[in-house]
Amino acid sequence: MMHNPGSRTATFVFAGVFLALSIWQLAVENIALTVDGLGILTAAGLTLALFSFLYDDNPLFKIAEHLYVGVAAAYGLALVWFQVILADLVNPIFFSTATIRQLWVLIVPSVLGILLIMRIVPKFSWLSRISFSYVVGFGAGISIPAYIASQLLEQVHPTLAPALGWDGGDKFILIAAMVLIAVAYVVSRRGGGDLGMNGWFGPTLLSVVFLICYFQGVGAASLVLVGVVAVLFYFFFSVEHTGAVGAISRVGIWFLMIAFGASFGFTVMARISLLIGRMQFLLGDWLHLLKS
Amino acid sequence: MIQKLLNIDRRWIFLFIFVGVAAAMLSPLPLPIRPSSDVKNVYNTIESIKGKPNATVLLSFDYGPGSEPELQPTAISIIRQCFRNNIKVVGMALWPDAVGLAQAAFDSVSRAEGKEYGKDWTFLGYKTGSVTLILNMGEDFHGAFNVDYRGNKTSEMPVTQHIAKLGSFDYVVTLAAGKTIDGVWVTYAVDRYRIKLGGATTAVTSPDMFPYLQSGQLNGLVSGLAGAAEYETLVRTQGSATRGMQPQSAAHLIIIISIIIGNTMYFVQRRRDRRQSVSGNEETRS
Repeated sequence: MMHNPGSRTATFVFAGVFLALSIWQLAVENIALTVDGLGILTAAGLTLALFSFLYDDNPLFKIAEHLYVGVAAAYGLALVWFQVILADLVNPIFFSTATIRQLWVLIVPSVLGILLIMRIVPKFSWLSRISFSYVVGFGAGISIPAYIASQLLEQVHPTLAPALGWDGGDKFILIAAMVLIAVAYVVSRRGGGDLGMNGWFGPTLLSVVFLICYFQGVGAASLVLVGVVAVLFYFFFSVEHTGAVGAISRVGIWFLMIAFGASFGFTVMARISLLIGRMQFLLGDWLHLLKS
Repeated sequence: MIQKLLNIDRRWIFLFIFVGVAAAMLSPLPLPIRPSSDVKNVYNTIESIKGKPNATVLLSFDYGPGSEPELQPTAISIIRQCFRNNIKVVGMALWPDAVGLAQAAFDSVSRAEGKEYGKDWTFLGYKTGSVTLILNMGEDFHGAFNVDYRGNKTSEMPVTQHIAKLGSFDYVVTLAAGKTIDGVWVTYAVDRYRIKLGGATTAVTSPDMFPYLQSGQLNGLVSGLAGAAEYETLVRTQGSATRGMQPQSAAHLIIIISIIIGNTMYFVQRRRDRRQSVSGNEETRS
């Protein structure tokens, strides 16, 4: 890796910057040689080592990456051992006054857990199927009704309610959606099925719907119905996407594009937030350049 | 020139963003922060339970250090709001890496607001199981969390002894970096035990949460660093999220300018290529 000139530059520049600035902070006594001070220096060094990847892959980045994986795994293991296995299993079974009858709820799952681990022993791996069958049965039984109720049925009402006037909403959007479909159909018939949907028609149709909804004071929630119907049309592959179906599915594509754009915007915002968090640490806690 | 700009080394973009963010941090220019209705809903729900006897909020820390800049300020603000209104706070974690972060948030705010462990707040620590843990809490809270993180019995601590099950909490707020809001809390806690749930998420996951706001399964949402800054504005504190808004705006401006320049160059280049190919065709014909 060090044969790559970019890698060498990244290693020496980032290591040099870290050492020079850390020595300066120690010299001006902004950071003391205490546990807290060493913690700040370690965190700053590892942050710079990980940032060095932005220039090029290099040994500093690899060290920090592997260190992170090792520390995270060990931390998780220690936490689960003390907070779960020791607290909820070992102590109640071996160091409590509970009767055997009370301990059944711990013993049975523990045995099932041990059977799961048997998977790593080829001779007894078949035993793990007993536990898996329990996991699959319990998982399906508990999650299928819960998901249908919360992810599907609970979503149907708010999708339809504002548009259909169920909650005192406006029926206008339903009429708008019907007009949209009718216009798309008529235009498709006149144009012999070709609407030029890759060009102006899809976005124009969508913009008109948005503008009408806006000026009519119909809430954004009502647009959800149009979006859901149009996107469902796009993912309906049993019919050829021509004519009215093609027109509506094009509107669906525009809804999807806007959703992807919004999602990308939020992702950029999140990543910049993480950079800001690290920069606040580097410029504040490490270099003491920020006013508190 | 155009070709050079279109093939610019991406490290230049990183450098521009780094310089922009650093400059905005070193010479801050305060920008107005207006709380959105989703953030206000979380704030107002907590305000609405103050004065209620034994009012208790459950905070679930479902994130790791990777999401600390976005979610930790919200956690601190919510704890601060509860303590200022004498509302009890119970913390728990569905992510193992959240334990240290939760402890740091509780320790700093409880010290500043003079609140007592066990009486005004407690931290239950991390438990595995997610879904089964929530189901257990829904049926028997003391059974699910027999002891807190420090080993005290939850049935004996003043802060938790009146909590029989999940529904006993006046409000539940989950601070989540992954899919625990919709995959665990909404699906298993809200619909089954009819609890009032507020959420705080990273900006990446917040678009996925909007359907639950619309359906009322989530009554409010604090999304990303911007949401955290809005919450800090509501609790009248200037934390890291508020200070992060200026660099955030600077970085966004640089990205927007880059997108505009990139697209302009792309279209100019495309037009040139077309002209060249047309003139090339004409020359071949002649």
